[in-house]
Amino acid sequence: MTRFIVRRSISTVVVLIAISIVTFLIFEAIPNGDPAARLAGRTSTPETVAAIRHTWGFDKPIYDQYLLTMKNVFSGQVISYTQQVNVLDQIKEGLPATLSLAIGAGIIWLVAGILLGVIGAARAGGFTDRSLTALAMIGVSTPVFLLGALMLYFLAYRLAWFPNGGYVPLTSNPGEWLYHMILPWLALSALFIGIYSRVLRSNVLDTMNEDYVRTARAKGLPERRVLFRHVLRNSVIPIVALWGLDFAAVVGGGAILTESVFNLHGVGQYAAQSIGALDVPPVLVIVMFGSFFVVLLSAVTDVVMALLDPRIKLL
Amino acid sequence: MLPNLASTLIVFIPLMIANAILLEAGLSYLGAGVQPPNPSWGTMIADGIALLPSAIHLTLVPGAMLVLAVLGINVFGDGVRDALDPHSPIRLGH
Repeated sequence: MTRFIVRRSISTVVVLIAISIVTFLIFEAIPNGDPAARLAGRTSTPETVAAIRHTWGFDKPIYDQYLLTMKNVFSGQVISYTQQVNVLDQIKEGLPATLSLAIGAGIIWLVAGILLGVIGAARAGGFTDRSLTALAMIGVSTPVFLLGALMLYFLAYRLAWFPNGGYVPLTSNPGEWLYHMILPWLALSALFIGIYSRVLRSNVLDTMNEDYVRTARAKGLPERRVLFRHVLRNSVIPIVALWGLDFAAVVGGGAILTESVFNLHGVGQYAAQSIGALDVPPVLVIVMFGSFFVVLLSAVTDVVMALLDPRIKLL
Repeated sequence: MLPNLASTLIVFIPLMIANAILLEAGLSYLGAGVQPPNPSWGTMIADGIALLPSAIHLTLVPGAMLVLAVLGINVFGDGVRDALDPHSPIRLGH
């Protein structure tokens, strides 16, 4: 266990350094990416641009700029180029909306994915299974922003059943919070429900062919017990691994499209705005924050998987 | 090794294509995709969404095309997988 923790910690640091360098370099390569010109505004003279370039350190070599930015990130002093506010404060502000979205949608897609996957496998080849497969395919093939926009148009704008986007903090009004979160949860879940139900269905069908399932049946166990105790328990393990990573990605700004469509003001929407403004520091911090979360949750997932399946060893 | 890998790779290609189309659409929605005047379905949908209440067809038509294209590729990939694996996928310990 100690070895596992040490190894994972070292690889986390390596991953974060690599990702931050790549992100930094991508912005360096974008055309018209000179932040000094944008900081100076439209009515700027070459002198003011040069002065800004000097004070912000944009005239230094790229590795100096990178080291300076990273120093600011770790001392919590990193300032965005466009709004010139503290990036970490902005992310902290967006986190409740993002966590609400991720936790709610995560529960919905896990439960619905497992439920539909089991139903599909139990009725394999039948009409129910075929309909579920078709629905899952459509869910996987629909871009989330299109689904979200159409949901908003029909359910919020035309029928007025739901509010037209926005986020209400859970602490200020739990009822309104739920009312505002339902559509984003459903839009974000649709894709994942499609993937999870397909993966679980094929896992269950594979496990059905295992010898121990035949043994369980031969013992005379009822089919329901075979399905839930023997088949499902083993089929769910890869789903747990998948869920950990997907959930981490959503928390780390992965729900960038969903948050933008529903105007949730979360971490993802902040990322979208920063990318639109070619604002390096927020994007850098959000990408690092997201990767840290993915690496962390993948370690947690590995531990959970080892607990669920004694054949898996932690390395 | 390669003949055994082939089926996995062939199954993976359509999935990657479908994902790439969706990714381009997402990037266009954020304004970071194909830049005008070059057209793309993603940009058309993104432009249409702003006008949903007055002209819904601007979203629905490119949206339907995009969903149909991705769906077609996904269904094709599923069919290829079934064709290459008539029984069950690879099992551990067999």
